Amino acid sequence: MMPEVSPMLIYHLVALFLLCTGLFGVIYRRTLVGMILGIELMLNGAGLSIMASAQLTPTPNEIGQVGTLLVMGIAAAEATLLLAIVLVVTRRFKGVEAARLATMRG
Amino acid sequence: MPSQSLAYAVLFGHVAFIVVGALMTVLSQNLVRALVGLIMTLFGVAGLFFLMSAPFIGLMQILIYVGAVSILIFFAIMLTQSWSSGDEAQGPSRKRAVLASLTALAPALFLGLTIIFKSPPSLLVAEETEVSALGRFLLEPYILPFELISLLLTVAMAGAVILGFERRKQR
Amino acid sequence: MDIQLAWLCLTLPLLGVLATPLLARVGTTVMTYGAVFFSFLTALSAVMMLPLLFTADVLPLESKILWLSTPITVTFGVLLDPLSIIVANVVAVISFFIMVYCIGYMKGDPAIMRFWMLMNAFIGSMLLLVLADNLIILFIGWKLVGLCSYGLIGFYYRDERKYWIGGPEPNAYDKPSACGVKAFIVTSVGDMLMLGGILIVYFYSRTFNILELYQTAPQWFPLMAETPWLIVLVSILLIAGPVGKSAQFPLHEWLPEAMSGPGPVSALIHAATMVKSGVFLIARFIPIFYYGYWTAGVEEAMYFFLIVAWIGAITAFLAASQGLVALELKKVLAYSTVSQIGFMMLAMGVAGFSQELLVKGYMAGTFHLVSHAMFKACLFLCAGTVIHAVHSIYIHEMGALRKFLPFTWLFMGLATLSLIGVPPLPGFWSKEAVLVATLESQHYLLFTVVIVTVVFTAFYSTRYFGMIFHGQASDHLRKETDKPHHHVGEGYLPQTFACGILAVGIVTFGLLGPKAEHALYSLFNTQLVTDLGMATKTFTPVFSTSLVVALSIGSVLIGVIPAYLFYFSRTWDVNAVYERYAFIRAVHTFLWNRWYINALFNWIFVRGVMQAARAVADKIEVAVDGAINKKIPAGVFSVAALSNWFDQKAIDGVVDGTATNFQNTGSALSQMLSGKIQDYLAVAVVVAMLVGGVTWLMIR
Repeated sequence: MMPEVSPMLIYHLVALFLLCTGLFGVIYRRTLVGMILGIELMLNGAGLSIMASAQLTPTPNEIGQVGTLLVMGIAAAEATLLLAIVLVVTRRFKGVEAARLATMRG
Repeated sequence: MPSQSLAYAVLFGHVAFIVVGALMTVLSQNLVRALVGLIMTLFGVAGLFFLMSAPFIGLMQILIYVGAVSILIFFAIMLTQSWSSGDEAQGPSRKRAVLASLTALAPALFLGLTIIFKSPPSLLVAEETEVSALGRFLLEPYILPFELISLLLTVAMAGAVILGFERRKQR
Repeated sequence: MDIQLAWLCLTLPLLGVLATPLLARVGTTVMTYGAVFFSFLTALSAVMMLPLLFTADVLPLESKILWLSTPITVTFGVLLDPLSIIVANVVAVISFFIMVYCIGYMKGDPAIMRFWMLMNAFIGSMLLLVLADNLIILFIGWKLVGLCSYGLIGFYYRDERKYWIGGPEPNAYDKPSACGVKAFIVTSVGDMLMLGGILIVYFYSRTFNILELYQTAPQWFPLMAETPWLIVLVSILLIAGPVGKSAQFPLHEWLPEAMSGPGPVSALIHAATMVKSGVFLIARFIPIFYYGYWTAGVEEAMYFFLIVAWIGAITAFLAASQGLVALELKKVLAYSTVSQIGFMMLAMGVAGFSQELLVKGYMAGTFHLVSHAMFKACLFLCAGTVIHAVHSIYIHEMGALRKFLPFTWLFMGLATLSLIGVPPLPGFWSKEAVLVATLESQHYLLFTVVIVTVVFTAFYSTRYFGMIFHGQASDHLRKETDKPHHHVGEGYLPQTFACGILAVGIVTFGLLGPKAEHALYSLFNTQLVTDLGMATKTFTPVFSTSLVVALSIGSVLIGVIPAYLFYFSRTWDVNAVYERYAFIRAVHTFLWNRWYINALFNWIFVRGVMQAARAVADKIEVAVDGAINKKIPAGVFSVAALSNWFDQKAIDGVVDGTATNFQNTGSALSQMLSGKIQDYLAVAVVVAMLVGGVTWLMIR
């Protein structure tokens, strides 16, 4: 049965695309910063999905908007910490590749 | 209808912007170009927010993501000197590409099926809510997440500072 | 007054013992003369009792005080009858002379106070034994004598090398302390058996008093006879005491070892007094068993006499044969003593063989007791002088001493002739009496044994005399005489004086010989027949006395002549004979080793007991100790070890095995963990989706 193509569907599909692309990027990228980019993509996808679900349904809009704002705030906080961590890790491991961080091997 | 098709055109324009940007982010060899791609994606998403009758959130998107997060990532690139890396130049192996594709496809498959077949009906046009209503919403029912997010931000900042200091102490 | 003399005889030596340490405070010489003075007083009291013998109807006299009244009545008293008076005199007088001798002999000895105390104590105990009126007091005196003898034999208990006897090399030596212990233990064996006999007799007779035992014999002796073999048992038990004390076979081994005491001690104890106490006690028992056999008709009572006579004869033969080869002077004299006491025992035993012989045998035994005491004491004292002069105890290290020790030569010669049995010395008369009694008893085997013993006696006596005083001086003696200040000569005046007095006594007694014999005969007749009412017949000799005389003199000559040729004139060479005949060598070894009896006793009793003790210690004590200290903990530990093994193998095996299994699986699985977070993330997402999908499919 062919689903109906609604705006929400499109928004959701875009969000899904962002999620998958971000996931792909996290795994595909070699450097840590590359992984951070992927994480940001995924967070964006999540926020978009939350907005679409709230705005385009009978659900009150504020829930979605507050949720997206929270996601954004968390993303910002997380990006701060990611920067600090990346700096520490890079100094510690003397390199920027994620493959170096294999001390927890085995 | 011309407005409807215009709307769709704008929508898909934004979607294309997002797609290209995302692909640039993950596939670009140069990290700075990846960052540019990310910024494109962020702008695209902001546009989508605008289209969803949530201008405040769209502006917030731009402010926070493009204005802060992207700069942070840029700082990360600069401080770790990863742009000049020959690592990215070598490129990831074929196996990794397959693995990554597989990982990406798994949620794509399941969540996609869920989205397509299980989603509730949607409105065509979203209602715009006032910012004051949003503000009142944050301060009355959702006061707890509001306070928590501020706490979170404080802790994150403190943590980042400590992480930075710790390095110096070790010398 | 008469009976009080007996009490004096007992108390004076005791006073002497107590006074000696007090006198020692004043000075050594004062103590010496004081101790001797007390023994002089004792001898005086004993001699003053002699007149009683001439009025023998008065005897027996008794005086007693009640000592214990519950649970049994025991009195402490003295009994005077001819036997006890004679023996008490022998003891007291000869002890006095020996004490005089000791003034010189023990001069300068550091432990002289102990010596005087022991000597006086000994004299007192011996007199207690002789004068006792009941068996309990007699036994007390008996044991006290044994105790003093132990103290005197082991006088040099510090075991200095010069006091060791035995040897010469390579034979073993004996230490004085060991000799004292041996004497005490061997005599104690006899004493305990005797005590058993006394108690059995008491059980039947309800009295310990000797006179009462004689008088009430008709009542209790038949009672005892009802149980078969009881009389024989009691005989053996009662004889065991004298056998031990008088060193008869089989308890004869202690006397040769007892020579480790000072010379005069050997004279006193082993010549004159203690060893005679056994004969004395046998004499005390004779009336009972004589009555039992001849009057009451108890067959078993004859065993008493048979045992006594045979033990006497065997011992005499045994000891004399050992004396033939002995090399220590005092050992020769010791064997001689044992042999002569065997004569006395024989005479006492023969007394019961027929009703004619009672008094004859009794008298012969007592007569020989007296004469032997005199000449043996003289011999030991002279031997002490000789040994002291030559600084050696071996007769083969002496020789040609006549010119150095003329007086001792004379006195010892007289005593030796008396020992051999040469008329007119007392040894001849007393030995005659014994031989006559034995022959008349018509036990010809006994007589043969005794005659052979006389031959041996003559041989060994001549041997030692010749080796000491005649022949050539040995190397040892030459070395001694070559020294600038040698004292190879007569000892101190007291020594020579004492020997001289005894020698004079020997000669006198010998000249009075036949008269003394008659006197004793009538005395004992009075005692036994008249007073005690023993049933006897008149003695009618079957054999003429000249036969006996001829036999005895003949055997003496058979013994003396070869010995003279060997040892006096050295015409025949001893060593040549020894080397030529292997038979002689074998006999020599046999006799030298004391018929291996000592070795046998040593093997059974000493080594046997030690080995038994060791076996008990090993098996029981060590086993129990081992069980408690080792086995039980070992058992516990082994159980613990088992538990430990189980714990390790089974329980730990399961646990560790499970863990190892998990580990192996884990490590196999952790090969997957490359440490790269991107891979982790990829896997996580894929698996999450799969799981979610499957779950969703299932719950749809």
